[in-house]
Amino acid sequence: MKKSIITGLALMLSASLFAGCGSSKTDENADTGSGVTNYSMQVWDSSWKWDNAINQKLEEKTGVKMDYIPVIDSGSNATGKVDVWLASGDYPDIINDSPLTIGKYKDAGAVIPLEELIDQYGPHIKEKFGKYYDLLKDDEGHIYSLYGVNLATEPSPDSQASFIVQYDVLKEAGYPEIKTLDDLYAVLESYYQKHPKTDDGKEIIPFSGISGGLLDINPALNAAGLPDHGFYEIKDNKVNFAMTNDYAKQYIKFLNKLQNTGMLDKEVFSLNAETEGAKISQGRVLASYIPGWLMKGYEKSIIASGQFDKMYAKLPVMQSAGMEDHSNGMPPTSSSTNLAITTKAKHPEKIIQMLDYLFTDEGQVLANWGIEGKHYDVVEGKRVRNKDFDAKLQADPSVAVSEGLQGPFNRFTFGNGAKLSDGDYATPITKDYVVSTYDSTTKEVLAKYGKQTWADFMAKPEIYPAMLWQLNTPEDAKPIAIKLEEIWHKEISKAILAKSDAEFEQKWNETVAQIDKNGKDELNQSMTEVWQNFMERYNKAVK
Amino acid sequence: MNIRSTLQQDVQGQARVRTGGKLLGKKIKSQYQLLLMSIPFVIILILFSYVPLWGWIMAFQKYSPGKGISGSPFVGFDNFIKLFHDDRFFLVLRNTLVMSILSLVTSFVGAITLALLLNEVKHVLFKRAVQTITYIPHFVSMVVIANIVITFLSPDGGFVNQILMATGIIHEPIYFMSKGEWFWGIHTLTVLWKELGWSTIIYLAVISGLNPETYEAAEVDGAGRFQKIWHISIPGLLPTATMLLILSLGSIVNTGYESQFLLGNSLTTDFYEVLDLYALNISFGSGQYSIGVALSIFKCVVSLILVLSVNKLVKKAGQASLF
Amino acid sequence: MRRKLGAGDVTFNILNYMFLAALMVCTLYPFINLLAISLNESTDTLRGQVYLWPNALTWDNYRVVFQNEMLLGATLRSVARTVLGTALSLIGSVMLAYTLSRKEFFLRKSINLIMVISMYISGGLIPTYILIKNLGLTNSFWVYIIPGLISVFNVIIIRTYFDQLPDGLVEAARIDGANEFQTLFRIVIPVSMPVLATVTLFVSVGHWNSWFDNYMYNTRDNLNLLQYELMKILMQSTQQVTSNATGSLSSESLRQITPQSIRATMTIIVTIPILFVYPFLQRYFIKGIMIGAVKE
Repeated sequence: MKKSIITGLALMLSASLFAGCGSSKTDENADTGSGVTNYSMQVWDSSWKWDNAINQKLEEKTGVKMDYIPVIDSGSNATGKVDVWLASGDYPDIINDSPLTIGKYKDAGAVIPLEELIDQYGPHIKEKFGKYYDLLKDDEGHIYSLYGVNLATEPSPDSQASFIVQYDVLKEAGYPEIKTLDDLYAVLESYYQKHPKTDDGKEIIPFSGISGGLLDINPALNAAGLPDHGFYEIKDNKVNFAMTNDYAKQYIKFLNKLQNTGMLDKEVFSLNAETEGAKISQGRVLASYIPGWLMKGYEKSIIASGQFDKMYAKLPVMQSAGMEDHSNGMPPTSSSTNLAITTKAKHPEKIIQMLDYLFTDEGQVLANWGIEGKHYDVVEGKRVRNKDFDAKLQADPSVAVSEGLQGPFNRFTFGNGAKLSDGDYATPITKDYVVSTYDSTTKEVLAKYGKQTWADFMAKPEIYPAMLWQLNTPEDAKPIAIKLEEIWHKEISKAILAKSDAEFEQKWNETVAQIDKNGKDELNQSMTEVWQNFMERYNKAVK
Repeated sequence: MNIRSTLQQDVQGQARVRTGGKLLGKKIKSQYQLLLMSIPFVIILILFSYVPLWGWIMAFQKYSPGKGISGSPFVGFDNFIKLFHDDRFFLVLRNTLVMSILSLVTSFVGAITLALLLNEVKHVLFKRAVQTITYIPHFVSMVVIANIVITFLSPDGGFVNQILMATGIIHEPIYFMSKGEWFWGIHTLTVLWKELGWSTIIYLAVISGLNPETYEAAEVDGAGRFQKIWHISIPGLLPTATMLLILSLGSIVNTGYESQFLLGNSLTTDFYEVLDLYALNISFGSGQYSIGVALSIFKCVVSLILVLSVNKLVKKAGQASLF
Repeated sequence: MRRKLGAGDVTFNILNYMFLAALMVCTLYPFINLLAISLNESTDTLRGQVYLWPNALTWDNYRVVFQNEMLLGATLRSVARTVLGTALSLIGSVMLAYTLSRKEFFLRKSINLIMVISMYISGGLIPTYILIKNLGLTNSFWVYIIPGLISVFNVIIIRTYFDQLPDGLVEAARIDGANEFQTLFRIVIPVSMPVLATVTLFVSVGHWNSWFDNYMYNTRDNLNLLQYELMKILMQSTQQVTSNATGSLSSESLRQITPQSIRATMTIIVTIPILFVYPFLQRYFIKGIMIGAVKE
């Protein structure tokens, strides 16, 4: 007995020593003999692997291979690993992070300027950025990070509005136009009066939502027709905290009205994506505000249960009839998670050459469509997704990752709906493709409104110089922004629960007072400064 | 035992005064085995716990990883002032202390009670089953636990509300999670449920280490069940319990924020926000590390004051103490 | 033992058993619930009606998790880490605790103070990372073992137990001519099995559940542990929900795995092995008593 334990221990020890031995340093951009250079690269998704057919092809074409190092400890406010790397000088060859983090790396002299390399090795980068090229530059004319440029002029065919209404409700009301919150309220009320319970006896919830921003901030701004600048609006080149404006009040009043008529979810303040998803998939929720990226998961569950009439229409709903919808804003670049090359990288020109390849038509096709015959076919001169591959992808979306169609270089896509020089689309997400993924009920509902896709309901896209969230929030402003958001949620919940109009007014005024007291003006001022600085740069760059 | 050790220390103290260095050399010689057994591990401890303390300099800087310690500007006590300056700090400190103390008390009383109850179970298989099963929730992540609690207490068909309605106690479902003043209770019970079995283990081990002859002797003397618990089990648990109590008093300000955050919502903000969450919110600028480090220094000071003073009190009361 | 049970005793026993049974039901629920979710189709789970058993039985969640070809190696490394880490940590803690229970040890007070203070201080992530890098522990298996070798909490637990041992035990051994090592390993350890079993449990659970040091200090796949690999799968499933690149919605696409299902499956996979450790250690809770009795 004792002996076996000791033997076991010895085995473990030697095994672990063995594992430890593998740690002698061998990389440092090792040239693997075939002219391929290895680079270490920060990525946000730990499932991304270099080892797949598409990347293999990329490697063949460009002689560059990436070793992905996953960073999973936070969102775009990189903390932890990325900062620790910088502090200890132990960073990889390529950093792939927010402009804020790249700024820190720049301050430390850890990333290299790219403009000369691009001049020499990046003709396609320059060409495709075109008039936006100078936007890449900072005040001193240096380029420290790269990202994609949006060449699409129409909304992505798979985009959709975020107010959702159950098909059954629309059918019962005879497929009316739902343009305003009042329209929405009316159809919900009449349906709820007739059907307080589902067919299997569960309570119907006319309106529900995920607590936090998706309950009160995003829908309020969306219904006011504002583009997505976070909780700010930009007017006359000035940034304002938007949530104390009258349109926000109107939306909260809408929620309050639902609450007082018993039509708002009883536990709307404690629902998360999971618990809200359960209610929606049970077919109990008539309407809500759920963005597309969440909705797609929920709808799979509804489809699985075969209740196609419990699926949802995605409609832009406005506060009042006369309001203009400017919510569909498109920035010219995809700046937010950007790529920078550190001083550790040997032969940085090889990385630029590789990125330049991604800006060619051939590179776009490889990154977005994949490999001909395997991931796509050319039918009558047009690219279409390969049938077998599409079936695999439909059955298991993770195939997109394992095949290499999703990865860090997707950021360099020209955008869904953009066209390459051959006149064909740059990505497989085309209108025809999106329509082909709809079920027959959805097609019927769309036909009643004379539309083909949910994207058709959206307002005409407008090009904005940038979305405010793409720019860096100054460090002094960030804690204020977080604080105001917390106060807003806390105070506005009381207004939503107000029992009378007088109480509502009082709670609303308290909310506004609290927000004013806790640094709204200061926040407005520093965000305005950020915006104006950017606009100055923008106007200089884009003549 | 205590008297003896104090005596011995006194003797040592006098000896040190008299002969100084010579005695030290002699001691090293006579206790070299004890030194061999402890010094390597103490070195590891010092290396990994104390050496990184140079990082505390950051608390007095506007630290940025890009500039490093040498390049970041010094700002004096700014970060501490930022931490304490608004009135919300005291609200948050209140929440932290209340929830800590509630959890501390319930977990102590609960774990010791459960250990004593289990000790009364003579059926070995049943006893082991209870032990193993009660400690399972410790391994389930707080995300899952919080979702279970919220679903159970939901006013929209939640289990608790259904029972209460079916038995006619209430007529309208109660939105438990919306009541700020109930949050502390719900949070305490949730944590107790999750960690009870886990914290019982140590007491079970100590009870089973107690000398069975003592129990038998007491039985011969005609002691009943409760007398045995009171006169043998509880005194046997006392040194370990005291020790754990002192140690956990030290981490009274170290609550983390996961359980509070996951159970809380916008209606209960004023009751669930704890120190760690608060610091996270104010430190979201790039002074991030600095504020974080400032908070950890603050917590360290509070902890050490608590631990050292409680330890002294306990020692005075003649109980087993930390040192 | 053979004493007749009074009515009060019987009532107490009944109540006690009932209470403990109820407690078992309460604490078993989350595990049963997770087991049911892990065996349920994820699209059905999303509807939120899974409580005690799966509505639509499937092995898909496990299949997705086990698809990861890194899992076997990672599991072996996790076992190695847990066994080796626990063994070394136990040896160190026991020795340290033993010296601190020896009243005549002249460094006793200082070491105690150093230990207790170390529990409440932390220099933060950056200095720790720099230290570990300078020690050459990054990208090495030893970073899992060495920095956390001594857990002060456990040392104090063991020391308290040693302090409670009969006073004559150690003295007698020393007078008999046993050196400190012999005294510890032959006399003290055999009568301390309950507390050592407990500390073994604490340490091994800690090792088994760790993933942050893996993530932070080791970037090579051949050093990854089970918990980290599972963590990555969880992250991946979360990412999939938020990614719209595939953008497809048809009735065939039912095999989408949700984070909820992955989380449940992961918890089951990592919890079951560690659950077996406890019953195995439980026998020492009883053995300790007997050895103690023999010794007296």
